[in-house]
Amino acid sequence: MSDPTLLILASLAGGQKHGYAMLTDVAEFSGVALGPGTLYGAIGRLEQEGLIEAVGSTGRRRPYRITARGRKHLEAQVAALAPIIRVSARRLRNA
Amino acid sequence: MKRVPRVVYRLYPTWWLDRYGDELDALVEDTGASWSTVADLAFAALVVRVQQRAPAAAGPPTIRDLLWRPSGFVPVAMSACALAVIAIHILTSGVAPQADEGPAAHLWQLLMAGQLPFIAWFALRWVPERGRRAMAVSAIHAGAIAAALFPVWYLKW
Repeated sequence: MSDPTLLILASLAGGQKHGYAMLTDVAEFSGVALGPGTLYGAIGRLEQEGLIEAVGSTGRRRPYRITARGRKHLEAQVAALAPIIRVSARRLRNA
Repeated sequence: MKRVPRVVYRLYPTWWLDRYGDELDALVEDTGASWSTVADLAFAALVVRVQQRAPAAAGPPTIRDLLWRPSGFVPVAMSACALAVIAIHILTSGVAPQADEGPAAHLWQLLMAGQLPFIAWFALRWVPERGRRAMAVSAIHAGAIAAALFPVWYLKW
């Protein structure tokens, strides 16, 4: 659950953000403190795969947004994780 | 401490820094540079080098780019060294065939055989992906081998 690409997609699903806003958002909702290198390494990979895109052409604090393809990818990831989370939670309750 | 990340940035590929360098630097300014940040940047640079390739817009690698990859230049360098071994042997011992194979012959054989895995790796890795340009580099490998073999054949060693 600490896969940076998944965390970034989840963050951008809530609206466009620049790097620092992504870091603070990810830390708030997941408790994971991504480093700047890890964040931009993942941003590069996501952008190359067409899952996110930069908003605006220049700037040192350029915002990014999730693409339609990125949204589908995130939905698929969430759908794959949902049964695992559900079963795990049920088993922990019953244990 | 501020200068340390700038040094670590050099670990990133140039095309990547051209695209993300300013943004990454701004983020490091915003978060503050600590030793953990430096370690994160260094590790991420290695991951970027392994996982990411320059976008197609930057153009496919040229023959020169392919030749500068380790599997591109090592065989050429080894053939050049093999030729140098022959040249040094001729200068010091002349062109007469030796009764017994000496260190020069063994070194030449090692250099010629040692480059074969690099040549095979290059052909398997790059020819299917880069076609003609990679084949041109393979032709350079073959030419370098021929050049290193020629004196041995010509002098009937």
